[in-house]
Amino acid sequence: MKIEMPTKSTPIICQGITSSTGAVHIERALAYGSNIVSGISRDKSITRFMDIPVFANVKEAVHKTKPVVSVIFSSPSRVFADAEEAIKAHIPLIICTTTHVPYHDILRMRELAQKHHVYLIGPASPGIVVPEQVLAGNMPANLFPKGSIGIVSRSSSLTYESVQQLSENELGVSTCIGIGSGTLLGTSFVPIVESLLADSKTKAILVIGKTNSQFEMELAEFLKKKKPKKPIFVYLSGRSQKQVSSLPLLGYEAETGDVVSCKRKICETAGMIVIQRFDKIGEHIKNYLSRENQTQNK
Amino acid sequence: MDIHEYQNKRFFKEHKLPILNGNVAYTPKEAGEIAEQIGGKAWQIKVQIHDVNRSVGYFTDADMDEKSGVQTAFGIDEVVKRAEKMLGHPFLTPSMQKAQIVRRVYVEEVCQAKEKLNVSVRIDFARHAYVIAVEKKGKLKEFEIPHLKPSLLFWYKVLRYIDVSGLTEAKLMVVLRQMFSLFENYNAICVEFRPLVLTLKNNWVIEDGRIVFDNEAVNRFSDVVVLKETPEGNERQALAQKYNFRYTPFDGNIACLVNGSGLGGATVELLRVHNGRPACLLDVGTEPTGDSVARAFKLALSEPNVDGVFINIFGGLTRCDTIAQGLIDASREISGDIPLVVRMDGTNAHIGERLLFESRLPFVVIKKPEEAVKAIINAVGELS
Repeated sequence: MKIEMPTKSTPIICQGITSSTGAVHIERALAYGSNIVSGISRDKSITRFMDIPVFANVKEAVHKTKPVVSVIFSSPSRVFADAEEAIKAHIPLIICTTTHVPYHDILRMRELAQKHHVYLIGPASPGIVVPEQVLAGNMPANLFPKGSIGIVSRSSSLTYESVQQLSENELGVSTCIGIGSGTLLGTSFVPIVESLLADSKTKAILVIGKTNSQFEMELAEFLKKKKPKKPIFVYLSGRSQKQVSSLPLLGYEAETGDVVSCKRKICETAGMIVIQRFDKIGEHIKNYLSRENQTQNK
Repeated sequence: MDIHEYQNKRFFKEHKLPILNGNVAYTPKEAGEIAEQIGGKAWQIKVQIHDVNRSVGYFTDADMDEKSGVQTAFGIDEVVKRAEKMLGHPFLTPSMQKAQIVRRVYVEEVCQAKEKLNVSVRIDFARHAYVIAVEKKGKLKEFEIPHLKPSLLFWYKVLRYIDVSGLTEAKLMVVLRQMFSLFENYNAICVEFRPLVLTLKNNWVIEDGRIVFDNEAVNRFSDVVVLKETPEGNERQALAQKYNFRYTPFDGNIACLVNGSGLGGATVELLRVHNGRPACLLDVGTEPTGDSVARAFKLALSEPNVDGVFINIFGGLTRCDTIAQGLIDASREISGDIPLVVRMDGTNAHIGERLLFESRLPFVVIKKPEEAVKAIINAVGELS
């Protein structure tokens, strides 16, 4: 099963639409042109919000408005129940923006999503942006120029940073997906990259990873076998967090500078183009693509 | 989140897990009384600090004959004497930066073991699964729990590996299943028994063990949240936690203030590439408020070993002018004359930069990250 990336007409439901964060981001999504068809609120007295029909449960909303993407803005204490509802209603793509979700809840959500064959992005995902088409999440979509670079990222701050650099270098974004910054995630890089590789509007892919998890290595494994034609750039953010004192037994190797360079090397051997410096992401991609164009023209 | 051994053991006891007789003492006299209550001829006295490496730690007092954090005493007098030398004395382990004064000891009966096992149940981050790990005679084996729910068949697989017979096996099964439900019910990252011992009377008992709680889940459990304490010498961390930003100490002299952990890692790395030494990293999160930036900035300025502050901010939804205003407000409150370099980009960056410039405060604003990093390193270098 492949991830269907949303477009301008994709019907989207928002869970937690009347929460303070939900309301803010949905208003921005509507202004951006996203097709928000329904919302879910815990307050049963609300039936309409910003002119969107609001339901008490996902099942009813799915029956009446047929959304295929859900964006969740619930609080950490509610998020498991809300994700469960969306998963059991078989919404194929669920974007969970909630941060500070306990580990056990993440694992249970993930397990449930796999069982019901739906994609759960996040938690702590900033969402998806398809420039000039749709915003599903909480990204500053106005920063994103339209173009041909697909972005999949584990760091929202570096995503925005790279988007700015792309636009300074006259490049743009085809689709941008934030998969969440945690060490436990509903969906890893692989299925997203797979879907971007199949997308005709995406000519190159930028992967923004970190060094504190196995997701980047998993992607390297996948690309080694797949050998895609599209160039895949990767930036791995270096060490920032020190070892958490309560986690020495969890099989983490100490994150020294060497681990970072070792992981970068692994990405390189898998055919990815490793960008070493965060302030050179845009420049690097621009130079690579124009070199490639020249060789093709010759 | 970590808790003390005696607190862990209370949890074990409340959840029908077998522990040895013992109690916590705050004074040497109490230690003697506890030993008397327990009875027997020998007792263990264990330092209570938040550190898993307790067994390899030592007392830094020069005049101590026995320096270990876990000591055995024979006779009540010896219990009191040893407790006297432990309580109120500084204790250091390899993973601690500074010695901590011991305020509590745990006095426990000594038991003889026929068999020792290390067992744990934990979240495996690489596999995205729950895992049971058994260490028997130095050999470690891990069992992944399918679909997060251990079946009877799964438990028999684990027991077959441990390989004990009859009634002992049945008793072990009860302990293991209870361990798992404690792990699950408290949303723990890890529950481990190191070791779980088989006594001469064929009973399983936890000699030492701990629960590692998930910081994001502890607020759900009123009996856990009350045990939260600020370790000594870690007040900054506590302050950062209170104000909801992340604080990572390093050993250099440049404080870095960033929004987002990815940007943080990148900033620290860029600083190091140019031979700058970070003192700490303050991460206010991707979308901070002006207030949280101000608080983090004040914390950076108040750090004694900081010779300069580098602020690297990318404004997404949080606009750069909001952040600039936070910085200005904070530096009006705390005066200092250390170099401050700001690099900001993103939403309303030009307005933020103008605000900083017009404030007439000593902010140096530089657009390019690399040049900004060089500027702060040079400014700090000139000071020393």
